[in-house]
Amino acid sequence: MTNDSSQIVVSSRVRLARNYHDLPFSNLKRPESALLCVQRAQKALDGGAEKERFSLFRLQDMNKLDQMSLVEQHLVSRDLLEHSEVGAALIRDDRHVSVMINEEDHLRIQAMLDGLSLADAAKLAFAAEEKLATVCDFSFDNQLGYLTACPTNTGTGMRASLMLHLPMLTRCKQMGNVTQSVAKLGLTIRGIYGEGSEALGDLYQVSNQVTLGRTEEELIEAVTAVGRQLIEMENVLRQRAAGDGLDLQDGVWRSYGVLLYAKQMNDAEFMAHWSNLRLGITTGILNVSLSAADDLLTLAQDAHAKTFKHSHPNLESTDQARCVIIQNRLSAKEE
Amino acid sequence: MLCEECNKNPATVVVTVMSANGAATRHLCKDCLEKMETSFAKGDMSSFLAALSSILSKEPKKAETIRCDACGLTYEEFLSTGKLGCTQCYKAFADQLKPLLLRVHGRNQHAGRVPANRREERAFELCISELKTRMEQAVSEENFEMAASLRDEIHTLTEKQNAEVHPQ
Repeated sequence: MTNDSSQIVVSSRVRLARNYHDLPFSNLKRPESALLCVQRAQKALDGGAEKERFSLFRLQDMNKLDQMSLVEQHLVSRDLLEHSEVGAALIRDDRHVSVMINEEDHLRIQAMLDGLSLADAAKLAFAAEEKLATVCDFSFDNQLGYLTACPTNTGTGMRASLMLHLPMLTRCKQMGNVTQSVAKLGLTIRGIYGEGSEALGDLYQVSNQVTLGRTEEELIEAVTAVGRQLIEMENVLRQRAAGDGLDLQDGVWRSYGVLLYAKQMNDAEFMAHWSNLRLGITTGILNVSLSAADDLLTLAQDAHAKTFKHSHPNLESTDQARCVIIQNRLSAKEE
Repeated sequence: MLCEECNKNPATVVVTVMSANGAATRHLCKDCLEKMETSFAKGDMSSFLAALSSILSKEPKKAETIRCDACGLTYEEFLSTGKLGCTQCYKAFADQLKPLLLRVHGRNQHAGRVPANRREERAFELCISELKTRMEQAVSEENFEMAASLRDEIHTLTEKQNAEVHPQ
């Protein structure tokens, strides 16, 4: 077992909410303003070096499956799909940066990196933000900072979040206590698809709740500090479980067996076994690559499985397609 | 302030009237208060209700009537959706948003990044605010020489800044 933070931190994400100063906010639903937002953002991010190229995805040009597939990759939020007539996203080709357009705010600039790397993710987000600001000024007030559609984002407009895999804390029924103590620090814990979502696969998102009156660095430090503390707690429980009979191993091997040989599996069952798979890999019980497990977190979700089924007519159901995807990825030789 | 009922005598008491629409406050003179109390004590509900309805109709309707001139959103609409309509809503609803922001964030002064074209302005503001704090400190310590020198420094810097922003 190692203490590498990526064993527990799946990804780090920084999101900035910005609005153009001269246009009504998105919830007023003015199509001409929405169009202008897309044009401005596209113009600002046009060109750039190969690695920094952005592609535009307009929701109205996409089918529901492709839209959901972007949600499963965490490139856009579920909320953006609520604005499917005007919603769009500029996604950097390496998929580390995406800009949602016409969601709750005109722009939601998001950077995502593997493991515990909020400060680096913030640099990526700010680089994109500075480029976007070259076309038109953002709504900003010297006292209140960046002005957002919802006052809960006013100030920095920044949400720094860590996606953490905390199976042992969940099993030891510690998440209730964790949620309470985290709230006292101005932070919040949610399921992986953000507000109101369940903690499928024992995955949690820790992020700052407060956005006004603190610097971006302070917010990142606070989230990172809590992340480190949760890593430590989870590691203690994992070590304890490893030395405590065969329960941990039994659970991991059973789930691995199901993932390798099942013929149909729904998403909730997959997430439960996925959690055991990742736990088995990170505790050294299974000799499977961590990136395979983390890839499956996206590849074996509903929209991806449905898309796979469409291209493989011999498959009878999404749940069958999911099993084929899982087994292909787990048997693939690592490069 | 004059009594809101007779508009003649100075208002000396503040009365809070509870109704289904919430609490309404009125500033009354002693005579009008007595009249209201007497009519209520006599069981003369009609005059009391008339007085009450006049109170409620004079009371500005808080949520409904505050409107952002720029986008047309009312404060009531904001309360029902939680979303503001535009940048100017922050000014139109400033009085209402101030306590709300403080409750949500615990603070109400931005401390984070500033857009590139506002950084100089912000740095100037911070510098002046620090000088003012030092000046107040000097005054409280009765170090008037230092306070005067800081006041002059603030004055010079402000003049210089104004000259740069509005060159002759």
